[in-house]
Amino acid sequence: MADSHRHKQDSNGQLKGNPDKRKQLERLLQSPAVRLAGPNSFKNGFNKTTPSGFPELDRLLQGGWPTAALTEIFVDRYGGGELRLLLPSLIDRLSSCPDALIACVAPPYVPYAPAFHGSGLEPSSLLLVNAVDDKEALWAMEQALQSSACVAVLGWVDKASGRCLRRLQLAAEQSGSWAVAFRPPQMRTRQSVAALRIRLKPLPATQGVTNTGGEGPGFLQLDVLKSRAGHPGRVCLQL
Amino acid sequence: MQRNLAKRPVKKPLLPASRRVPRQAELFADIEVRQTPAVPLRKSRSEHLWLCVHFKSLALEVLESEAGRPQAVTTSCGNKTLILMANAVACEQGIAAGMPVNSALALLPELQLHERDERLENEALQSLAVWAVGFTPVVSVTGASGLLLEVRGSLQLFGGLRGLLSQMQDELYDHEVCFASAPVPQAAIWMATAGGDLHIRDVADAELKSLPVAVLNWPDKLQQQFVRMGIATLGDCLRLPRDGFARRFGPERLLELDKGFGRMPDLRLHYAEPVLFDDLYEFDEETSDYDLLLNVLDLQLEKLRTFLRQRQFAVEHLRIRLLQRGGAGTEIEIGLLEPQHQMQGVRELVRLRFERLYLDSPVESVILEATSFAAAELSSEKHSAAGGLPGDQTDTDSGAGARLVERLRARLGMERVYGIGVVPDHRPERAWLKANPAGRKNHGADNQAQPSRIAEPGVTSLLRPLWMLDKPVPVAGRFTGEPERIESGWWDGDDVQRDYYVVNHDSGQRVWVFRDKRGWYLHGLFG
Repeated sequence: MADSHRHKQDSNGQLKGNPDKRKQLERLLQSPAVRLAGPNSFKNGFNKTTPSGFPELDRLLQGGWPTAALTEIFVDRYGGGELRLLLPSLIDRLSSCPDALIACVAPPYVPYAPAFHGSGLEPSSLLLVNAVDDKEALWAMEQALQSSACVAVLGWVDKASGRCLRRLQLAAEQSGSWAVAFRPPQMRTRQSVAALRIRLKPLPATQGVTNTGGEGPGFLQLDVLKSRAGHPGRVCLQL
Repeated sequence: MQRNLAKRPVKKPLLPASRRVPRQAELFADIEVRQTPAVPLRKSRSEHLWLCVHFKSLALEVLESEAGRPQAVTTSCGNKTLILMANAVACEQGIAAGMPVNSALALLPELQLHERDERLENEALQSLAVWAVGFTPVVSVTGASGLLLEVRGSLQLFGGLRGLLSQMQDELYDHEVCFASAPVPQAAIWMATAGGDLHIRDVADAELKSLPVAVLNWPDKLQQQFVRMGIATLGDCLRLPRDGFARRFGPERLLELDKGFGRMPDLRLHYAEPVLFDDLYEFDEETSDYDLLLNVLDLQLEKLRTFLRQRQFAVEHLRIRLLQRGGAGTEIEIGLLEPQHQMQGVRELVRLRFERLYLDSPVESVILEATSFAAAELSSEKHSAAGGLPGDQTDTDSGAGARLVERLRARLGMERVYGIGVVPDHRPERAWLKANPAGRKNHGADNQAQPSRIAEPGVTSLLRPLWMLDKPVPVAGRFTGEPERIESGWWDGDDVQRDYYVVNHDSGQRVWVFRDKRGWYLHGLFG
């Protein structure tokens, strides 16, 4: 049944058939409004991804975090593991442009510089913005996305209307930077144009895991609610 | 004797350098002054006339003090604190300069002492230099309390030297001054230090030669040498043989004497007024219209751009003052991360500032001020339009970072946009600081070391949470595990003795708690 929906292609991946109709179809497929699921989804330009550093997550997301798009991550409590989830891909992005900044807008607590230094992310690449309310936070995120200086923009916003999120998504697409919005889990029922929506839950310590002072295993449960290139699903990661 | 030494050849050393006994000629081989012949003092009138204005008690005048009470200014000399100068009331009671503070207080217990404030003195001297520019364009600041003016060209306007001096005396009514003038600046300084009202036309004047050697202000050791040699006046110094003088007191002291007697040229640094830009626009009728204010500011920024372009400056800091009805005023300060000479970015920042500005009364006039400038780095715009050199790309990226920071700061405020840095301190709450966000990394070595750092196990041995709370929050409960003990900070009174534990909370979060002598606290969150 999947074959009947698949477009006829020759060996080069070009569409067979009438040349005009083929061009129309190609143009339609290129537009960002069209989601093309399946193994051909990589061919479209807007599905650029950056590897997340966790192979199970990459498999679920068909590649990794979507760059040039907005990602929404819902956490019960801010500070519960979301930054560590993003850390490997942030380090990866910075290594390709070392001069760029990572903007953190309205962080819940103070990011601790020695911890970043020890984990491989230079604290001098971080730009922290403390916003008074969500409106300022959204404005700051948009400014950071529109400037070409930031390679990733992370924001902790509680309330954001669909219109604001659409503006963030557009800004991210236009500049090619990666926008991540952390939000409380009640907001996941609202509509959103984000390319990727994930619900994050840190799992409590299970039996067999001891409270040692060293790097004990911490588990995160990710529910992918919506993914532009991939399927919804659940994965458990060990940080 | 001079001629003999010049003709004697310098022999090559026979012994190795370490054991060589220096020969007499080599000892003085670097004293060049010895080679110059003594120029006889010229009797002709010089073309310059230097006036030295010496402020005898500037240190006392800049400090606010009551006139009737005895006051004194102290300065520390080594480990001792001495009296630098005292006002007239104190001097009558026997306080003299150079007296130790304890003796002065014993003599006069109600003496009020002030620590010498050199910054205030410097500022006062700079503003006096600005005043002096009104008499002559050639002004030079000498020492901590003197001004040198070249007044030959101003004598006709002010009615001769006497007229000039009387006008200066009138304008300097709240300072204690003494004037002295001579054809060379150093001689004028000597005469002013001597305290007299001396004016000479010629360096060969007997009055100059009869000044005591104390006016030279040389260190005490040399003054004592003068006493031992029986030299009391400058004229006696002149009679000494030059090479011997250079040998005993140093060639630079001989040069100073030469400059004072007109044998060597004396160049002085001219005082230049600091550059500042100040533009005032007064409205015909007061207005609260923001668009009108922005238009006026655009005009003023355009004038600033011309000003900067003429001097090849770039501005780092602007201040906009809005003078409102009733004498009230609003000040807007705009600080730029990088000095700018193009005004488009500044215009945007001004607009952003105006968005959150609230004016409670109408504005009568707008003042744009810029005081701190830097040399402009002019990049050729044609270059970047044609694609530019490979290095240009990084320039634009870091410029974009700086512009983003400026834009955010303009709307949200300086203190809410910052970067972070690492501080080497064991105490966790002090191991970081707020810094300017660095858009450009200057250290290439760190960049190369960065990829390997993740692999290094040694660096990550200190387990630290990604999030830190502003203040530790008390928690209930006891935790077990292997603690990390941090004891540090005894040297500044903020010592900590804590045992840190990494704990997995029931909700799944991993937290960093510590145990103090006061109890258990939560300090950070992992993740």
